[in-house]
Amino acid sequence: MSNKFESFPVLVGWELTLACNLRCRHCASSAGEQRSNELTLDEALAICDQLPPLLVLEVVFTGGEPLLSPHWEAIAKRLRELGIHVGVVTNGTLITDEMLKRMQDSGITAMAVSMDGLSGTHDFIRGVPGLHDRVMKGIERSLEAGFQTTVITTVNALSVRELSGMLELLRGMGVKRWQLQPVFGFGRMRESRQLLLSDADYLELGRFVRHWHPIAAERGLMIFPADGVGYFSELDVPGPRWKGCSAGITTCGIMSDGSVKGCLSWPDSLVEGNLRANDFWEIWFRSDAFAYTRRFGKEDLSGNCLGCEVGEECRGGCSAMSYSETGRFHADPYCFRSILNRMPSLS
Amino acid sequence: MANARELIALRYQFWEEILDRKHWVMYLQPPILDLSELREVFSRAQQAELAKVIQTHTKAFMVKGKEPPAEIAGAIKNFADDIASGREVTVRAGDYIAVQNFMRAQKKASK
Repeated sequence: MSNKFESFPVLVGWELTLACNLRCRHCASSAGEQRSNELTLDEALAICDQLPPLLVLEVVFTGGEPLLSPHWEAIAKRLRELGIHVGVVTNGTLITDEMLKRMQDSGITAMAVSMDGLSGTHDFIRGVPGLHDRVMKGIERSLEAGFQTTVITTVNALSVRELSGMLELLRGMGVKRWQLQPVFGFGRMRESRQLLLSDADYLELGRFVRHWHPIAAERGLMIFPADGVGYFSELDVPGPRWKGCSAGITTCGIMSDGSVKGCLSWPDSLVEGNLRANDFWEIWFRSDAFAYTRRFGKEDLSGNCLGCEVGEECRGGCSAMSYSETGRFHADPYCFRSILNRMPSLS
Repeated sequence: MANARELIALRYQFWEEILDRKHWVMYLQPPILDLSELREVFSRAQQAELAKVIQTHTKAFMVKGKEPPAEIAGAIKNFADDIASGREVTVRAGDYIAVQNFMRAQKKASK
């Protein structure tokens, strides 16, 4: 199959640096210090030039905290010259009016800012008292400056009970876009597994999204469940139908040392190649590349997904969640359908 | 800090465009009416060179009957077929990949 693979990485996540000014309890990348061998600006710009033939539409800077990279402006400008959209996922600590101006001057018009609960929970997760207020101010500044700003909430066992309060807060701030995603157990979360969602917590998240999605939309706030929220149950919300993990099929990730992975949330053992040594085109179209997701058959389903009647279409949910919880792909235990089948009492 | 999965949030911001683009890249069927428009479309994607290769070989095949290089013969004949039958010229993903691979091989050989 892979020899005839005919798709392109339309969306690329680019970890500009692993350096971060926070040490969040849930950070899947265990970000903090930069990698010892991060790309130079020249190397990064050369990578940019390889993206148009691969029909890349959009690059999202992530990290670490991408705004700590000394190269983000130059890389953003080059990408915009190439006709590629650029977005930034930030922890919100560096958003000042000056920073917003620099982002606009670099051609960045969209950003996503993390907010992981109401103030107590957010500050606990992020480890900095008072941070919630600073992030709120940053979000408000970005909205005033005209950015398309999405708030991202990584839902954990604490914040799942604060979603209604957050909804009101975000509406009051004028936020138009809110993404909810379940926390998973990679990186620093391995030391805080008590924050993982239980089955009941996860259903609560699903019910919240299902209930509030249409109501919030009418009030001007779109709620977006992320890849890890699903699948094929009464809790689905209107939107693009889940077709399985897109990593290595229409999306991929570049690490700050030039390594390429299907998804930046996957462990480093699943690196497909390095852009210092190989051309992106060669990595993407190598016959055995990204086999974890590209070569899928019903027989690959396991664990929770074994025997599921929609398994072929679903492909076993979110790859990163599946891998973090089971060590395998195509076995995502966080699945409304599966939980409700297993425990009808929760229905 | 930002979880890698969080890039999904921004995906939604360009969702409609991405769907369009997905359609384009999966089937590569932009509404191209003739080869000069093909050049224009790919120019926007910084790929004028690609458009030139397609145009040159398709014209040579259709006008002079010159057989295209084997690696891209299928692609060029698909373009020619579209033109000859009055259909919109469509760039299929496999053909696009074949032409790109051809260009890359030529560049390597010329080094």
